[in-house]
Amino acid sequence: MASTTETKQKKMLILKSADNDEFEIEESVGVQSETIKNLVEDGFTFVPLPNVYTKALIKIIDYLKKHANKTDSNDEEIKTFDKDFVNTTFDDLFELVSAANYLHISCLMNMLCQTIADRIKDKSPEAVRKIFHINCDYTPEEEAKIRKANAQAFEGQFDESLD
Amino acid sequence: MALADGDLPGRIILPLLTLGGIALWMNYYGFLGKKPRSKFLFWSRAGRVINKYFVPSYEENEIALLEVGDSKMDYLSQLPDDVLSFILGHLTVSEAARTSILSKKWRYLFAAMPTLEFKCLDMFGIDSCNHNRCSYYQQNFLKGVNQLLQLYSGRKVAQVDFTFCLGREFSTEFGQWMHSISRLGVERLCLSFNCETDYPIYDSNLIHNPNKFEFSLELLSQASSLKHLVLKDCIVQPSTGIRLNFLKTLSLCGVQLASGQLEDILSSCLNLNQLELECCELPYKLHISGTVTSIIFFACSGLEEIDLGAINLRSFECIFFSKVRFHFSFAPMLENVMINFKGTAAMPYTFGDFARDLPAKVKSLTVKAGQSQIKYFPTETQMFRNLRELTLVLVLAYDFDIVKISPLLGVCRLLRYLDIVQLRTIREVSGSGIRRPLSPIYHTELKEVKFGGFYGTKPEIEFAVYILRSAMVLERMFLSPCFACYSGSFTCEMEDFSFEERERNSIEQELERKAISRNAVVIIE
Repeated sequence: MASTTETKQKKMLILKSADNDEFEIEESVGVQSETIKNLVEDGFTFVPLPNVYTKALIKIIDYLKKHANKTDSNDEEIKTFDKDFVNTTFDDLFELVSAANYLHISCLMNMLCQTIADRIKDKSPEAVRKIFHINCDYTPEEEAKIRKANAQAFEGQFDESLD
Repeated sequence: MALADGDLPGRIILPLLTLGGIALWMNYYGFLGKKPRSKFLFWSRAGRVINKYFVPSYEENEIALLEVGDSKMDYLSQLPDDVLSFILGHLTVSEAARTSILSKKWRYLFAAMPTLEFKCLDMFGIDSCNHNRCSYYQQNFLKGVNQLLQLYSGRKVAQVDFTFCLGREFSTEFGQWMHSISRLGVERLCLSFNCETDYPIYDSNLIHNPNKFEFSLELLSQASSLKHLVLKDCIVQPSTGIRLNFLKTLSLCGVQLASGQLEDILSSCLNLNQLELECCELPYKLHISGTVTSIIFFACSGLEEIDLGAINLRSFECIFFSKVRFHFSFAPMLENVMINFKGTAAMPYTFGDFARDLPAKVKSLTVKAGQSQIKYFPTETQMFRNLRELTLVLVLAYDFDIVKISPLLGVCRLLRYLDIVQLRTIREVSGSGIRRPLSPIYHTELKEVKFGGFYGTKPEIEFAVYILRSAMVLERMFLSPCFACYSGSFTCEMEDFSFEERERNSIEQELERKAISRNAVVIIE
C-alpha cells in the first residue's frame, strides 16, 4: 500500500482471558475473529473474553498470528503449523473448538471440526462410544429400533480400532 | 483422547512451552505446584468451563466430574448442540446418521444439520470419481435417500443438495423425494443429475445424453419456502401455468433450453431476482422479461440474439464464446454491464452498436478485449454520455503501447472511476505502430484511477502522466503490478510481483509534480 500507511503505528489490542491473564496483540491479528472484530468496530481496545481460558487463548493467538501473515510463500509452513496445531488431545480440541466457536473464527472452526469429524468417520458406533467415552443410555430394544429405522447407514464395514 | 494417569504434566507443559508462552506456563506451574491435588483441580477447572458456559443446566456435573476423575469424561457430548451439528456437517449424511445410535443426546442431532447432501457414491463411502460404479448402487441409493428423508420428516432443513445420475426410469421415486423435500422448509435446493463432471460444456456426449433426466418445475410447486434453486445437467420440461412465485434465484447449469423455454420459466417465477445460466445450450434467440434484477450468462452456446426487456434489471454479466447481438427493448434500470466475448473480434461491435444501444442509465461498464482490437474505439461523443465507471480488462503483449486507449477517455465525459487491468499473457511482439502525439482533453469528473498490471514501462508512465495532466479533480491514482479481476464465475489474480525500492523511486520521480489536481495522491503498490 501507500508509503504513508507504513509509518503509521500498529494498533494494538488487549485480550483478557477468563482467568484474568492479559495478552497484547496487533489489531490486524485479532480481527480475524468476528467477535473481536465487532468489538473493535465499536471502539474497544480492551477485550474481555470471559468464555476463553488462558490455555486455549495462547494457542488461538498463536494460530491467529500465523494466519495473519499468510502469503503465497509460506503456504507450506502454515500447512505444517495447522497439522501440528490439531495434533493434540481431544480435551484440548474440545476446549479449542468451544473457544473458536465463541470467537467466531471460521477457518479455525472448520479445521477443528474436520479433525474431530475425521475421528468419527468410518468408525463403528461402538468404537466412537469408546473413543469419546459416550455412555449409551438406550435400552437394547431402543437401539435395535433406531438401527432398523436407518438401516442403510449401518450397512458395510466399519473401523473398530480406537486410534 | 483422555489422559492416562501421570501423563498430565508433560502434556500440558510441553505444548505450552512450544507455544512460547513461558511466562504463562510459570503461572500455571505455580498454580499447579502449590496444590498437592493438582490434577483434579485442573480438571475441575476445565469441567467448570464446560459446565458454566455450555450446559448450564447440569449443576451436579461438576461434582460427578471430580469423582469420575480425568480419564472417562465425555467432553464431546458436552459441547453445545450447534457446535456438534457443525462437526456433523463435516461428515456425509450416512456417517452423520450413524451417530444417532451413540446415545439419547445424539438421537436427533444429525437431523439438525443445516445441509443435507445426497451424493450417489459418497453415501457409501466410495470415491466419487468412480462414476462407472454408480449403477451398482442405484437401489441402495434409492433406499438410503428414502430412509433419510423419512427420518427428517417434520424437521426443518435449510439446504438440500442432490447429486446423482439416475435416468428417467426413476422419475416416480424422484417425484416422491421432491414431495418430501417440499415439506422440510428447504430454502436452497441443488439438483445435479450427473455425478461425473462439473463442466458439461466440455463433454458434448453429456449434453446430448438421450436418457437425460427431465425435470418438471411442477414437482416444486408446493415448496413454498424455496428461495434458491440450482439445476444441473437436465432437461427442463415446459412449465406453462405453473407458479413458483416464491423463488428468488434460479441457476441453470448444463441445461438444454429449447426456443421459448426460458421465457416460460421466467413467466412462472414472478418474483425472481437473479438468473444464472452456465454452460447451457440455448436457442438462437432469447427474450428476457419479468422481475429479474441480475443476470449472469457464463460460457453458454447457441445464442445469437438476446433481448433484455426486464423492467427491474440492474446488472447484466456475460461471457460468450461467440458474438451475440443485444437488444435493449426495455431495460430502463440497467446500471452495471460486464461484457466479454471470448476469442472473437467483437470490439467494433462492443464499442459501436452495442455502446450506442446501451440504456441511458448504465453507469458502470466492464469490457474485456485483446490488443488486436484496441484500434476500434468509439468516436461519437454521445455514446457514453452517462458512464461513471469503466473497467477495461486488456489482454496484451509486454510491449503494448497503453497510450492507445486514451481516446476512449475522451468520449466518457462523466467518468469518475477508471479501472484498467493489463493481463500480459501474449509474448509476441506487437510492433510499435505510429500514433499522433497526445493532446490532453480535460476531464472534469475523473476522481479515481486504478491501474493493475502496471510495470512502469515507458508507455505506461506516459499514460499515467497523461491522466495526471488532464484529470482536474483527481483524488487517487493506484499503480500496481498486481491485480485481481473478476470475470464471470471466477477471479483472476496476479499478486507475486512488487517493485523494488529503486524502481519505485524512479517511477515516483517521473510522476512528481505532474498532477493538475491539487488533491491528487499517487499510490504505487
